[in-house]
Amino acid sequence: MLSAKSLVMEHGAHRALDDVSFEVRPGEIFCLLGANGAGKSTTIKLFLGFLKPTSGAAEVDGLSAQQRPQEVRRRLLYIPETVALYDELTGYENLDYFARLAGVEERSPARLKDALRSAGLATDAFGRRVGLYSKGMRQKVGIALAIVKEAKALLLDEPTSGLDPAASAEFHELIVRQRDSGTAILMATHDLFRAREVATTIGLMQAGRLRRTLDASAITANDLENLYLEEMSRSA
Amino acid sequence: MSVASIARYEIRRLLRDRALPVLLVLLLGLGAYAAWNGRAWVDQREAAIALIKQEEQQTKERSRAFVGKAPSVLPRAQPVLPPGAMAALSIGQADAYPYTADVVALGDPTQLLKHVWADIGNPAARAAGRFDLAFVIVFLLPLVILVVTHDLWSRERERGIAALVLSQPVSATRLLVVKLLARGLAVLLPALAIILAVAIGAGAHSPAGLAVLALTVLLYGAFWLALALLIGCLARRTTEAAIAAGALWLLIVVMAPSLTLATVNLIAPPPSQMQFATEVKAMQSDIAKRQQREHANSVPLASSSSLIPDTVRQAYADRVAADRELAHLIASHAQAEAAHRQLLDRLRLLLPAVATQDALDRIAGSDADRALDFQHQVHTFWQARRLLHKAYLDRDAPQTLEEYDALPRFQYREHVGVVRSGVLADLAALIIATLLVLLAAGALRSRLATP
Repeated sequence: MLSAKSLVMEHGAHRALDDVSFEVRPGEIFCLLGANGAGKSTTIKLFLGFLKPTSGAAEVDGLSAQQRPQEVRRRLLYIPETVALYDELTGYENLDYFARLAGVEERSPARLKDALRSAGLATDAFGRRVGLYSKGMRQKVGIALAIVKEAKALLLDEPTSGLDPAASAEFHELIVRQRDSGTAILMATHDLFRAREVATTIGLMQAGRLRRTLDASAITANDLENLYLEEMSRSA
Repeated sequence: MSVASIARYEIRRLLRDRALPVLLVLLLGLGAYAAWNGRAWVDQREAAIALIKQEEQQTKERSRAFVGKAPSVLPRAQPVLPPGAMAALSIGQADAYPYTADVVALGDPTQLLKHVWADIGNPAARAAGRFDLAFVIVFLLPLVILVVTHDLWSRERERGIAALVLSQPVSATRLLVVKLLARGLAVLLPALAIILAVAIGAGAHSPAGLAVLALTVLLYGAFWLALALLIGCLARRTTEAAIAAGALWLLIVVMAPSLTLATVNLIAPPPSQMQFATEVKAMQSDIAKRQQREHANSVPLASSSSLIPDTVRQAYADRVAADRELAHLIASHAQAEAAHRQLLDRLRLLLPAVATQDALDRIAGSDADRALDFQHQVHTFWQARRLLHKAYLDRDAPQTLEEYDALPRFQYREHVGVVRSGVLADLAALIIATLLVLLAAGALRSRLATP
């Protein structure tokens, strides 16, 4: 579903991504781990078509994100570190608005409310303005949009950063549910513990390179931490 | 996504922000005050005109006693330029040009329009300034529009909403245009309704005038909306957008007109009135002396059998000869004035704020062209008066009471209605300026595609 093919991204003399390749199939979670500036967010932005790679290709469902961005965006949902929504609108209105932007045909109030409920948002919060929402509640509206949009792929850029442990656990439960429904998920995160728990595959990035690709089910938390620290200590 | 859905949500967000209702209430207050101010000016001018007409009538009645005692009795006439049907809208240049004249048949043409504009030197009027509806439209309406639309896209970028929006299958350009139209109409239509309501309340009653006023406001508003779109393409942060909006307002509404005027004054300086008056005075003095000398040296005419004394004929001939000599000086002064005015007139089309002010002045009838047309009609009336005097001399019979009572009165003839070529040129200039800004925004639209 998501395919990075020898992605190279240069900003002048700086190489932000260096020959990055990986695949995320439907029903898989690919976690990108790495320090700040490792190239995780750049990789995600290439899939969104916000950036153009110097060489290589980012493809979604076989479609190039650079050449056919609108068709690609129809298939995926992006959840950044903080899901920024319109503060003046309610959670329900935000979902309706973004569902319309996403071109979702079936937007009956019942379906939208079901999606918000499935994303774990309390019913009494539906009609409340988003300006009063916590970060976790905003993330849930993002997940509700993924549900309504029936996104084939999720791009999550450090989605649990800043969430309290309970909210983080709840969020990971939600993405596992999305994975189980066949969604391909690419998640950039710093949370090694959660990554090992939810991921199918883990990619360790350092200085724009994908240093290692690990099977999450075949590695312990300690081994992951040691490998991570080992990779991060390598010079570029 | 449908255009209507985006627009509906945009307006919902705008209304919940509360800035728009507050701005519209403010605009209503300022508009009402400006309209009242315009009405007060019209009332003041009409009162002044009534006094002038009364004085003219009294002069005519007093002079009636002299009919038959002189070859012709042509009392001082005082033509007036009445305020137009939409006068309360804009005081414009009405204070800068005379609205009345002193027509003395055998008088000096340079004195026709000298006893003028009673209020131009009135310190009370000067201190208060001219806060009319045109000021509200030209200066304040852009501010209202910019407050509502300057952060069209920068707010989304700043808050991070743009990333979620742009990750959806939607064209950023289309989205921004629909947002702009929604916000633009949400601010412009109520603003237009306010302007029309207060203008009607102030006595602007010409349907055609009101229609052209509405069109002018909409086109001027469209120009500022196009600028908001350009700002949306350029600014990444709300502060940047606010600074850009403020700078553009200052440049377009305040700086550009002043700088243009200063440049025109350098390129084609307006002729000095003082110098002109001095030259006229000197020339008149020379002519008078020369004519006196000529009369002193000439052999007195043998007494003629004419009913009208030769001295009267001589005075008429001297006056005509003097005016003929002065004509060149007057013409060259008028030519210099016209060159200055024409240059300003052309350059106004490059300045949207000035073109709008000009269109409003023309709709209100307070523009320079109408004032100059009045002067032209006054001049024609004066010439007709003088020819009347000549006719009495030529027929060698003094004026009769019937002829005196039937003396033509001046009536200003409005040549055309509100929709004049000048207004159309102003509106065309606004359309072209808007299209140019839209082209610039179009060239920058690729900047919208990244959050």
